[in-house]
Amino acid sequence: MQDLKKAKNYKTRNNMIAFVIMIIVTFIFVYPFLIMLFVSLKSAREALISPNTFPKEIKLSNYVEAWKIMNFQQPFLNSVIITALADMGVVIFSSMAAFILAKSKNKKSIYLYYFFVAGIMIPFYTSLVPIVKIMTQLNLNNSRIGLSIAYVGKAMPMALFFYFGFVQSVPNSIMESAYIDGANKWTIYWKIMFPILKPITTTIIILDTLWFWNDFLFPNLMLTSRAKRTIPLSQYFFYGEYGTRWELAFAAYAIAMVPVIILYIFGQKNIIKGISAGAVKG
Amino acid sequence: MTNKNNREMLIASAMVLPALILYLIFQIWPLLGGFYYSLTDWDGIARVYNFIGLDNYKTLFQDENVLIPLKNSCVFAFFSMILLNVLGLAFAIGLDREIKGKNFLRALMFLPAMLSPLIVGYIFSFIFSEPLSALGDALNIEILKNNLLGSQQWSLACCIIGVTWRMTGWYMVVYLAGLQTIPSELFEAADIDGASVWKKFKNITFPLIAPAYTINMVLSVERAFKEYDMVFSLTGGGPGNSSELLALTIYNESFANHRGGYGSAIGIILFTMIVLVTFIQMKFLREREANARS
Repeated sequence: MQDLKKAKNYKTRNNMIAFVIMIIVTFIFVYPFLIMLFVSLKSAREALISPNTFPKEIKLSNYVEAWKIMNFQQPFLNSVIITALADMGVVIFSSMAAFILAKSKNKKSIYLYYFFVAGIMIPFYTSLVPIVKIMTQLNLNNSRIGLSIAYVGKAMPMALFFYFGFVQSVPNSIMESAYIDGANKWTIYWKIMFPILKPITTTIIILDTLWFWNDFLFPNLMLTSRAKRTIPLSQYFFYGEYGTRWELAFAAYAIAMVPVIILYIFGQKNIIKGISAGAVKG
Repeated sequence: MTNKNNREMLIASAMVLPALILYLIFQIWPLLGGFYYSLTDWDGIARVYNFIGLDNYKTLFQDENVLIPLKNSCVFAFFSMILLNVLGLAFAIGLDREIKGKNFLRALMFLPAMLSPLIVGYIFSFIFSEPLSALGDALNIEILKNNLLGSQQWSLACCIIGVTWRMTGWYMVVYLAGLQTIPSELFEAADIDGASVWKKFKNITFPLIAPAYTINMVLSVERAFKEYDMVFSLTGGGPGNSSELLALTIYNESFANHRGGYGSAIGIILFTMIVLVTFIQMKFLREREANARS
């Protein structure tokens, strides 16, 4: 009994220490957001003199101005178009191919799968010069659709890897009755397999959305005209012109974060689940 | 029957082909192109270029402007691997307990991983230059008084801090998933035996999260070698090239310096490094996993 009490005390004390550490950690994680909010609400003068304090008077007009300068609806729309198209392409093409390769009766198809998966290792920077040349030759440069198509190709190995593993774990019996009824491969894929793949599809969409949405270098190389800029690109150019005006720059960053934060608030469970599922599979 | 088989074959091919074609065009072809151009003196724009064999490779292993970033990339990869995994695991264990607000904390810590690395870099460049030097003045800490980002000694460390802030939550989430697979009876049994916290960690937790550990170690190094956006916006590689990573060098050589061939050669080196490190890590870590299981 004494021992049990001791153990319990020990546990609560440990929990207390953990709690204090967590408070400090919370502060470290919140601080950058807080400072962004503070500075973005200050007047130009105050932002320069005392960046660390709560704003004396709240200037929401910084947000209006930053939005106007970025013309934010435009880059937002561009980012949505590029991310959505690329996600759709990745999901459909890679799941289709993975289904055929994983359920093929031909033993050699595994080599084709290995060939695909080897691409996971290729870093984007290895082929910086060639990719720009290829995109130009194919007339895909300075095009939002062109960028999405390239993303589909780039994201193919990882997505195929996830789908392949999942399709393999689906028992053949599910499809057999459909085969007997005379359904072809496409029907079986679309009607039976694709709905079953939903959990892994969620994972792929989450991982790839984070990539495409936040990517900076590739759009920077590809999208030269102002009207086609994505959100990260618009931030880059904003920083170039207004980087010294902290209050405007921070309002711009805050605006740029809003879509991601909204997505996170509503999809948090799925996002966390998707990331862990992806990691465990990988 | 053969007719139907042929038709099925046709459908199957049609379902694999789009994936294959896109993969060939946007991954394999550029990679081959990278190998090819690395053997030339192409400037990246002109129609003509010469074959110079392995000259680019010979040059780059004597080129300070490549060797320093190479060293930086390794330092960056090493320390971010340690920090992300130690902190990720520590927070995962901390937040696996029954403490108040753990769900909020988990959510908060993962949030930075969702943000664009470019913006994180901009925010941290502000934090290092303004509030931190104000803090240095107030507390009279010499190194903090001057902007850390302007110091050759500290700029790379700042990048490591930035990436740690951004990605710790990600690694924590993966470790949490690993922790949740450990049956709680194991800990209860250990408690009855009076095992210490460290013993429990060493003999139960660590061996049983081996798969999460493997993937996190491999991913943290691989991502470090591929890091570009955040370092670009935080320090731009400076001052000098004290925080320049290999990915930035490739970009600068390829486009700013118009040395497409040379940039490609550095790209191939980066590719080789990633493949080698990943294989070595996989071999060691998988062996460890196997040992832990037996």
